[in-house]
Amino acid sequence: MKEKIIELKNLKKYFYLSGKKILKAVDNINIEIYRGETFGLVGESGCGKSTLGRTIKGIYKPTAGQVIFEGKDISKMNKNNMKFYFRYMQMIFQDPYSSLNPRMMVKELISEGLEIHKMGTKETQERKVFETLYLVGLNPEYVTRYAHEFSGGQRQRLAIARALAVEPKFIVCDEPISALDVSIQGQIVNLLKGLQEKFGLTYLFIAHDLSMVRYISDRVGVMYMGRLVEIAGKRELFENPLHPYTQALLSSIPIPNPRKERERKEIPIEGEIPSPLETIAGCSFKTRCQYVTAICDQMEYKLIDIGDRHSVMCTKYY
Amino acid sequence: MDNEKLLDVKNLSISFHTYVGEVAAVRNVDFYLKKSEVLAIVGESGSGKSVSTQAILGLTPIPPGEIKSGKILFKNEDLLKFDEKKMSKICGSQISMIFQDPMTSLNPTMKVGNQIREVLHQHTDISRRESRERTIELMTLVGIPEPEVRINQYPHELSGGMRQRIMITMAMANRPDILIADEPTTALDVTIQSQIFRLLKELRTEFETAIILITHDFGVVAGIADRIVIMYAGKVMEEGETDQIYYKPRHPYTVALLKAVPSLADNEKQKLRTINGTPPFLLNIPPGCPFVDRCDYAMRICKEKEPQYFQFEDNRRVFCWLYHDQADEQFQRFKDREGRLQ
Repeated sequence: MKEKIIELKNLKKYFYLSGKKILKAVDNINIEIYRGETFGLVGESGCGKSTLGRTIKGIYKPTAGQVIFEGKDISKMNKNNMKFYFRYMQMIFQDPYSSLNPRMMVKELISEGLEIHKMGTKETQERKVFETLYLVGLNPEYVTRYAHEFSGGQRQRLAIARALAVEPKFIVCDEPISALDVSIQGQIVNLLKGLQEKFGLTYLFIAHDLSMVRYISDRVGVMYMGRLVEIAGKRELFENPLHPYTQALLSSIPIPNPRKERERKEIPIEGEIPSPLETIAGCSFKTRCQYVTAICDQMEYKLIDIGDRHSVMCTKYY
Repeated sequence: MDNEKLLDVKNLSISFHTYVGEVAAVRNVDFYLKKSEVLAIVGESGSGKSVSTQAILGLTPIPPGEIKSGKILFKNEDLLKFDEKKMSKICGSQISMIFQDPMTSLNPTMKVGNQIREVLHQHTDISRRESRERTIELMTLVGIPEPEVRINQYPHELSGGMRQRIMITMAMANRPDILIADEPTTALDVTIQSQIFRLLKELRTEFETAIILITHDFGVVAGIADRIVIMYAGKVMEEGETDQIYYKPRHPYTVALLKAVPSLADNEKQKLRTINGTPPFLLNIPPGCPFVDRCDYAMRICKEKEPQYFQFEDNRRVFCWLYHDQADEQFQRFKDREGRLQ
């Protein structure tokens, strides 16, 4: 039986704006992520996927609900346990230009976490810096350089090294490759996969590039307007998408093959995401859905288990 | 034959003078555009794809930029010789451009309707009432719902996709011969991306506008482009019709790029094919082929001497020594390993 490393229970993150408006960025999300797997999270911009990642990492405090890490609720952890949590839970951001301190040398960037978590002596820390650089495919001679001396791909390797140095168990990868060139994206994805095998890491891989998500993930969740609308194994989701939104999303991916691309049948999805500040009764996708019926107004926010570890939130499957 | 070419860029070289030295961003680039065709220019960041197309509209900042050589023939007139006044007559009426980020290219303090009308008044002599009607008509055409309401809104009130549609409305307002789209969908979501591409295709059929589509993403051009130009380190590496480029790529760089795109049909058990290393620094370009350090089929000559262009059937052009008569053995290796690319 696979062991849960993280469990989200009815997780909510609301932002309270001026004029008594509420932005429900993450709305009642339940996900279990197992040790050693890569969980892909997809959705369009503004759907709350990054907020979810940040809430898991502990950057945001959840409005309601629980984040349970290795059986312990993080909101009930004491200071000491919390420190361990911050060590085991690392994050890589989209833009390696703004996520690395430009005034720090590579060795400081990487050893910062080691010092904070008091891991080892000065000598072992130094050795760790060299080892980590080697692991992510950077020349260990670069220790005295600054972040601006590196290209985008190398900077992302640095960000990975920084996360890796403190021996994490879980890494939240928030669009780690979308700012990189196509030829470099593959290098980073292969690196992440290699490190996962080596250290048994668990990833939450947030992305909007669906073909890359399909490549790297074991299971995939689809978010729409703060809610998880479908969750399934990677193959199952891409071959048999059930939610009308997932179907439309998958059908709009261009295929890099002219003959197949000309034959691609697109399920058009009308209009755009409604304002997240509006309260929509029932299903939030009903304004753009082609299968909309009267019962969509009364949809419950519950994933329906279809079997085969595939769940979907849609009245079609009642 | 030459009359068919609406736009003909010949031997264009552009450099930028920086405090560390001269950066040769575009080096002896040729490409052309025929009436109502879609040409995709594909390349990574720093390949010179944007710099070479900005020069068409005279948008190269001079200094630090310098046009070292070349001609840009539009209807047989050299655009590089035009002064500002002559150029502004062409910009926005015969050739127009849309950019990646519609938020920074729209004026945030002006209602979008007025921004579109400004373009109309600039180039045609019409009354204010006419321009308003025409604007609403154009906005309907590009699929903006409720144009009578939108016309009085500011850019920040619109979503990214809507803003890009406003940009397209402005660009198409005077029915240009050429529309240059510089990464028009990179900032947008997939579903919106496919809407915008559908719109561009419709506009092409409706107005017979030729489109230059600049992108780094091989995935998106398959469905829309007629021809593709692949750029790398300021050079055109390969040029050909879309199907030829996809199914019979001839340059090792094109092959590598195609393999780096994870296609949805791919087997995910395999390791993703990547291109090792990074593009060369354009400050100090070594002799030889710019791709040599990352190429699986590099030969000695590739390091020493810049390749020449080898011409093939149907306007096909490849910048690679593999097609030289004396490279037979290496070419065979290339064919054996990569020939199976359907």
